[in-house]
Order: sequence, then C-alpha cells, then structure tokens
Amino acid sequence: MGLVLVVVLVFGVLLSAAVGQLAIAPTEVVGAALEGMGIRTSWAPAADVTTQALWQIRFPRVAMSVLVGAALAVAGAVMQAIFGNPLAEPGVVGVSSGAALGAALAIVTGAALGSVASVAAFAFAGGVGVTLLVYAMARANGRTEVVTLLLTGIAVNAFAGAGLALLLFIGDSAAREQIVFWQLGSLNGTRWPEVAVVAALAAIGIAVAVALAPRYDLLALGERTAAHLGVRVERLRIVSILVVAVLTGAAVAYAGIIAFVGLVVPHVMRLVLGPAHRALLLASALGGAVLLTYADVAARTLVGGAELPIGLLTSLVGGPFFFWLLRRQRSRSGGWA
Amino acid sequence: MTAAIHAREVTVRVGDAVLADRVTLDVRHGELLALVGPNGAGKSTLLSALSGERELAGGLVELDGRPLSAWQPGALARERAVLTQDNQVAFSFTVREVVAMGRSPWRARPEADEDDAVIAESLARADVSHLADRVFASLSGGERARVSLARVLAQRTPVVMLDEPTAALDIRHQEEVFALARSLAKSGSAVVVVVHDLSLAAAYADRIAVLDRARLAGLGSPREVLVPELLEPVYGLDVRVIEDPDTGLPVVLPRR
Repeated sequence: MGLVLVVVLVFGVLLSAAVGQLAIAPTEVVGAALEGMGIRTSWAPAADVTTQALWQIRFPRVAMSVLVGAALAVAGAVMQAIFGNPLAEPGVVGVSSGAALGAALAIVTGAALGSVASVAAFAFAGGVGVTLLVYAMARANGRTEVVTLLLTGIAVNAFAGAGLALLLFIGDSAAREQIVFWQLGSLNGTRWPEVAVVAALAAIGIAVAVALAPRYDLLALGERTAAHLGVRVERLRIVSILVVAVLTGAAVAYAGIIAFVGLVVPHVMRLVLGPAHRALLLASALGGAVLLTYADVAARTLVGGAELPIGLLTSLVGGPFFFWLLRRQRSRSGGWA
Repeated sequence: MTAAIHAREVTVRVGDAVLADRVTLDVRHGELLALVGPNGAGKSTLLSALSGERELAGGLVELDGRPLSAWQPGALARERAVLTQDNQVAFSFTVREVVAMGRSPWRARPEADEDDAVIAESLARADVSHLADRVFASLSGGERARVSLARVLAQRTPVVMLDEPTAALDIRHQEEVFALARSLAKSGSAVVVVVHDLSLAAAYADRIAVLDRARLAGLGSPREVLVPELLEPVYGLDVRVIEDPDTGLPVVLPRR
C-alpha cells in the first residue's frame, strides 16, 4: 500500500510540475530537479527559462501541495483518534476557519506587514483557540457526541465567517484580496521560504503524531480503559490538540481553507489498512499528499486559461463524501450516537 | 505478608453524595474477593477507588504495600488490570487487535517477546479464539464482554479487578468466567469481582464483601456473610439461604 502511494505520488509530482501554461516534458522536470541539486544530466532543459520556471514557480508549488495535503490528512486522523469519531475533521469543526480568521486579522491590522512568519503565527493562534474551544464544548462524560461535535462546528464556522466578513468590511482593497484568497484556498504564488516554514511545522506535527500512534490505538478502548492500560489520557489529548493546531495552522496559513482532506483521506486509508494508527497516520500523510497534488493539477487544468481555487475543488468532492459518511454512521449506530 | 490491595477508611465523595464511606478491606494474593450489594450501593465506585481511577476524599489505598499515588501509570498497568462495565471500541479494530492492546504496558520489555503466545492463550481462556478475526463492533454483548476479559487476561497482572464481568453472559459463560477468575486466584493473583448473583459469588469467591449504601455491611467467607440476618436489611427482601447439595455452599433465593 505504502509503495503504491509513493509511486502514485511521484507520478503526480512529475505531472504537476510538467503541466501548466508552459508545457514541460517530464524528463526535463527530472533533469531540472537534478540540476538544482548539482547533478548535470542530459535531461536538463535546454532553455534557462524552463529551469527558472520550474524552480521559481512550479517546484515550490508542488512541494507546498504535498506538505499541505500531508499535514491536513494527518491532522484529521489525529482529531478522529482523540475524539474517537470518524467525523471529526479540522475543517468540519471549524479549526481551519479559526486559523484563517487569525491570519486575516494579522493582514488587516497590519500586524503581518507581509511577513510570512507572523501570518503563520496568527493562523496558528486562531487554530489553537478554536481547537481548545471545540474540545471544551463538544465533550461530555469523557466522550464526544456527533451531534454536539457538528453543532459546535456550525457555531464556530458561523462565528469565524462573521469575523472574516467584518475584516473584509474594514480592510483596504489589498487586504480584501488577500482574505478572499484565504477563503477560497489556493496554492498559487507559493515561495520557497513559505515552503520551508510549512515543511518544518508539518515534519514536527507528523513525527509527534506517529510517535503517539500506539496510544491512539488504546484510546479506541475508551479513555477509562486507556488510562487503566497506563496512558496519561489528559496529557495525550493536550499534546494531540497542539499537533492538530500546528498542522492545520501551518497548512491554512499559506494555502487557505482546503476542507475535507482530513476527513476523506484517513477514512479511505482506514477502509484499506484497518484502524491501527501507526500505519494509518503514515498512509494518511502519503494519501493526503497524493490527493492535494492531483487536486492542484486538476485546479490548474480543468478550466482553460484560468485557475480554479483548490479549496473549492476539495469541498466539491468532500461535501458529498461527508454526507455519505454521516448517513452510514447513522444507520450503523441506529441513530445519532 | 503484604496484602495485594490494602484499603483503609476509603471515602469517595461526588458533590454532597458519599459513594464510599470509610471502607476498610484487604485482598491477598491468591484470593478471590466478591463485591456484592444492591444497585447503587457503591460497588463500582469502590472498585474504581481501588484501581486508582477515582480520587479519594479520605483514607488510603495501597497496592503491594505502596500507596496508589506513588505508582507511575505504566508500572500500575503492569501490576493491575481492570475490566470496566461498559466496553466499546471506536473504529473497526478486530478482536485480536483489541486483545493485543492488553499487552501494551509490556512494550519494549523482555516480557513483550511472549506477546503472541499470551494473546493466543488469553483468547482461548476467554473462549473467543474463533472470533479472533472478527471486528469488535460487530459482536454481541456477551461476546464483547468475553473479548474484553481476554484483553484483561493478556495484561498478565498480579492484581485483577473485574466489574460485573458476567452481566451479559449466559449461565455457561458465567460459570466459565468465574472458573477463570478462580484459576487466576489459584495461580497467585489477587482478584476482585463485582457481581450481582450471590449464589455465583458463594460458589467461587474465597470471601465476600457486602456493600450497603456506601458502607461495608459484612466481610467474610460465603458461609459467614450470606445469612438472612445480614442480607435481608441490605436488600430489603426476605431471602432463603439453602445449601447446595453437592458443594455444601450457600445458595441464596428470594422468598416467594
């Protein structure tokens, strides 16, 4: 499974780097990538402009799609593990919009001043704030009810939406444009320094999540039994919430709201691999990267001469999927459990 | 010799309600103690106080001579296993995976080498080997109870606490579970079982603790404790205690 995902991902990366306004042969993509690492091959593009287009525009964008997809999918899987519920997802419960609200606040108030790091910091704060809120609101007697979780998500999304609207209202036109970019979600205009920040945060978040994987398995037994088996449940939860906030915040800060990746990917991986979390988290990271890489290719090629926002695409596919999952969950548990 | 579990003046409060009121008892290694009493008498509460799950409002619980507060969670999980009443598993974990989770406290220790053997043996002892590849969530209530018991067995601890392990079981499996608890005690474990069926407790327990409105109303061998004078005020019901013709142990019946 892992190998299949890697192959699909490598193919997607090559495809994503090759397609666009300037069509570039896959061999030239490989050649340019090697050249950038100091290895000259006969595949290297003849024209310097090709190499430059690849390294300045395409490669950072492809890298970002891989990182954002992996981060969002792992964030979803971790959230589902700590809520013990396959319907938990950063976008659905409002973590993504909370992070976007934080980022928008940074833009409008001028706290960011174009600085990549401070927008990320605000997005991170928004993500942490909303995650803590949802955590506090949606739990009762040690478990989370689906209804409470989703209603909390509605409330949080509504509030964040209103906050974003207010910021649009008071912001100048440049800020408005930037905020709209967040709401739609896009990988356009990604630069290497941004990739570096997201890469660092995603690596930390995914590494911590994978290290905690055996404990997530025990959490499936319920928190009382997990505690009897030696898990410090409360500590595990708090660390996990921070992981979710770091991963989601990092992804949202630069790519905007890309919803449902954290819902669809872990669910499909669980169907294929089973629920054990170590394999699930690693496969979700790969699967998320695959999904977003291809979604980005689709976003750039579906409409000739224009680029669809990638967040629109994932929601277009993810929304119906969520609906199906909800129906299935309900019919299985014989009601709203 | 130090008692496996030593509880002294254990008191548990939730708000104004007193759920355990100055309960003092010892459980020795090699002993099966049954906790009985009417609904709401505080059996599960007392068990959760003994397991370290619940904060005490007063008193002390020692495990192997050390107060519960001095145990690290990991070491505690290698010392005592707990079967709770409500056993649900999120996501589609299989029976084998669930039982394997019982081995998690032993991860990265020499004992982990025996994992596969212990898991197979635990599945067999709880009579669920044939369910090993089924998804836990698809099982019946009785099957879930037995699988959860197998998970507790896989933990291989010298102290075992079972909260109504027989609640969802037919009479054959009730007998088997208590025979299993009995054999755990025989092999040196200290076993505490919450149970409603007094005759079942009488047949398998070394001693019985009767709880009445958060207090200990009686503690002793089945013959000492299961007498009408003690049981009738506790349960508010007239009972008849007869002798089992085969074993001579008491059998408790309501007077009808």
